[in-house]
Amino acid sequence: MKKYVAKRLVISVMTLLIILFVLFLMLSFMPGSPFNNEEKMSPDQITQLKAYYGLDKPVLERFVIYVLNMLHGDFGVSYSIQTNMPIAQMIGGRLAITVGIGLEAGVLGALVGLILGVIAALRRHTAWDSAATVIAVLGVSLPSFVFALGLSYFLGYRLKLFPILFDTSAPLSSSVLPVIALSMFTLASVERYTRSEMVSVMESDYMMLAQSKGLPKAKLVINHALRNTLISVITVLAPLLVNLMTGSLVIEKIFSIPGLGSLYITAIQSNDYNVVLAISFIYSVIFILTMLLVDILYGVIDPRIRLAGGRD
Amino acid sequence: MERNNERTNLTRRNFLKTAGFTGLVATSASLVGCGGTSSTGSTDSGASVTKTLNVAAQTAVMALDPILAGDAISMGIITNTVEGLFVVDADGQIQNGLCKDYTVSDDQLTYTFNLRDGLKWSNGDTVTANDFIYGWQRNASGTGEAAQFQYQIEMAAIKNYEAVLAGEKTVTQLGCTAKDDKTIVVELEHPVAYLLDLLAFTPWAPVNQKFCEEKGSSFGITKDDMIYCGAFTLTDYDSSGNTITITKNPDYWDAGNVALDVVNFQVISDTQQAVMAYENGTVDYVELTGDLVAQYADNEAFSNGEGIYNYYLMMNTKVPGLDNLNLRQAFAYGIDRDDICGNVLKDGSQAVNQMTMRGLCSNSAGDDFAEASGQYFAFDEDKAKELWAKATAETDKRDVTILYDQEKDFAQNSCVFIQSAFQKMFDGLTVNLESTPKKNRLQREEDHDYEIIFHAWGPDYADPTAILAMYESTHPSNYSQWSNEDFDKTYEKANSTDSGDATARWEDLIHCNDVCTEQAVCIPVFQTGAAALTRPGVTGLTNHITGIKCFYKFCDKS
Repeated sequence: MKKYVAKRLVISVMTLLIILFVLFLMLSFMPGSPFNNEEKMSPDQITQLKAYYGLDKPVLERFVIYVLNMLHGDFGVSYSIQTNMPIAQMIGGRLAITVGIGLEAGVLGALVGLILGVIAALRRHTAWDSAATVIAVLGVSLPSFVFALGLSYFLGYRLKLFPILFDTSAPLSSSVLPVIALSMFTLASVERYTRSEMVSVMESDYMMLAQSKGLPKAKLVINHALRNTLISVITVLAPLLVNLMTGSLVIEKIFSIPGLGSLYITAIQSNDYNVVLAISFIYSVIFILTMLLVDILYGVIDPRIRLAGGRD
Repeated sequence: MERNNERTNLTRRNFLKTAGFTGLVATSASLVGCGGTSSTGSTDSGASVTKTLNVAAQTAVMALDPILAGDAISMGIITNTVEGLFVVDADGQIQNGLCKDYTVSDDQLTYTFNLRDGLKWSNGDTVTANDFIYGWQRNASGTGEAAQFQYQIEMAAIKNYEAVLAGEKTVTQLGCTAKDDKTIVVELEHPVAYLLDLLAFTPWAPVNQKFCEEKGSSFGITKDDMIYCGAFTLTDYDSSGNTITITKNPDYWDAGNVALDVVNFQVISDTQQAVMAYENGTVDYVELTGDLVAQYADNEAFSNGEGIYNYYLMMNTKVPGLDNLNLRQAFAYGIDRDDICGNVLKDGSQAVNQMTMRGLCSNSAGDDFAEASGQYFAFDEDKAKELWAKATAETDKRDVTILYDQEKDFAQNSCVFIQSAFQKMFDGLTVNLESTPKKNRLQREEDHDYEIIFHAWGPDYADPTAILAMYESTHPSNYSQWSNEDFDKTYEKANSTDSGDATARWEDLIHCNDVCTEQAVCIPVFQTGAAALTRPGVTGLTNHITGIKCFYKFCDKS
């Protein structure tokens, strides 16, 4: 296991460097300027500005400087969104908000999806199963912003049960509506996978053997069926979680959440290179770490799965 | 078996009970601490009532440095917390700010501003004349992004501005000095009618030299990297947050006349959500766009006025075909502006038939410049076709491409309308549409890589030159590459020999406006509206076309 994790970490670092370099190249080819009001500046001023930020250097040299600075925690400054604001300071608060809301939505969606999926599998062809199917279809078919607008209107605006805008001074209460809206797709996906996997597992030979040995139903489900079901569910859950933790532009806009999603889009539209690079780097780290965690979890859930092959 | 069945039934029931209970607990836990919407308005803190105004803002703060802030919200917060020599009241009139009084020489080339007594920064330092000089010199010597407002020094025509901005003279040779701690002397190259209006704008704010130099590159990054001398101080600002709060400054020279205690800016980028927040009582002021304008037009809280921007079809006159006057004028006559405003935009925008915006400036008799200018190109299909027929005999141009910003839905809708109208009206014409991010569009303007751009321009100060300057042949923003001797000569005259004669200058600029409009270089289409919902009981809120939108010291809330 240790060898496996170490190997994966090394590959991850190399992957991140490649991602960063490709991004660097793409950003340097993007048309437009990273600065505000360039149309009001003289050519000399623009040249000075580029020299000040080191944008007059070759791409490779800039990339090396950027990576070396990054190792010291210096991600550069914003050129246009919040001029001269250190990127770390700019993104830090937003990262916590986005990851926090994403995790809450992921956990809520996974838990509720799992419970609904188990119920649907155990109560196949009953009203419970139909209800779970309806929820799943709605969750998968309707975009999250439809839920967001509906929840915001009915629960926030009409019934005044929850705030309709995110409040950094009251993050828990003001994240209820966005978390529910974001969790729907995860809930629906997890529910469908859980149901279908659990049905398949419940019909397997070892389950029949366990049942014939007189194991109580609950123990049968939780100790045997669920564990085998979880492997497939985790495979689906991992990319969903990553997607949630990288933020949703539309949800952030609807609830005025100062998150990474909207900042990312603004940075791309503004050609604010440093912000784009930093956020892309963070997304890549989140993805790679999540995938690594998933692989480790496989081994925990099912000891038959050997990660490194042979003895550790 | 029976025993197992009992156990099974019990276990399944228990499982479902547990699941249901868990769900109930989870839902209840999320409800803990959930309140409804917070109420706005005044809070009773025992002996006194706190007046709080909540404003919906569309974008977050960009910077707190006066020469780096280029967006409306940042400039508004800076100028309400770091007051300049002048402010603009709720009626749009210039009032003395930190300046107690001033004198102007007979030739209108020397201004002497006297500061009030007892002015203090929030760190206890005294506000001195040198703070203004330092701030203005800092603007003049700025590089890169910090040079974005140097054109203001040019527009103010401060003595030696050309040589200083070109680096041929030092900033200390700029024609502004601190005669003593409370006296500022400004010398001009020629009379500038709108100087006081400029001085109310953010880049002219004072800067405490000692504090600024101590902070270095972190000056203006966070609220603790700034000090304040305005009607309010910035008390809550998180660079990743969505709320900005300014609180009444008890040390402000006019604190007794500042009615509001707190102004909260809530960043809500979606207008529909902002309106819901208004309905819920979370905010007291929200600007309306799109369909919401028509929806709320009958609401008692609704108001609509002149907006900041004019939208134009800007022609690249170096493109063969677009240099043909008949073709350009055919297009100008072929736009039904009222139809666009009334049936496409429906957001309070109004047709405009000359280059400037209504409400920009007026003369001593109160005449609005835009309305006093000639009005051109009222929609006339027959005239448009007649001119097109002439144009087709003179040029082979039969297709044009209109470029617009992809971020703006209304831009797309307007261009689609124009495309459809032109293709029906003008035989043989093909109109192509192309959208691009705004930054790319700006780059293409600079590179002259376009045929026609659906383009907006807003004035930075209350003078027609704020719009007309860019049509002068040598101006760097003359993206249409147009050149007209009559325009250039008259414009030069307005800013030199006639600059001290308000009447002559007014006539010169009216003539420039007429020439530019008539040549259809940049065909005016509409002026944006400024529709808003303002909670009854709130007074003094403004949306000025130039400079700062609102000086909150003039606002009140009952």
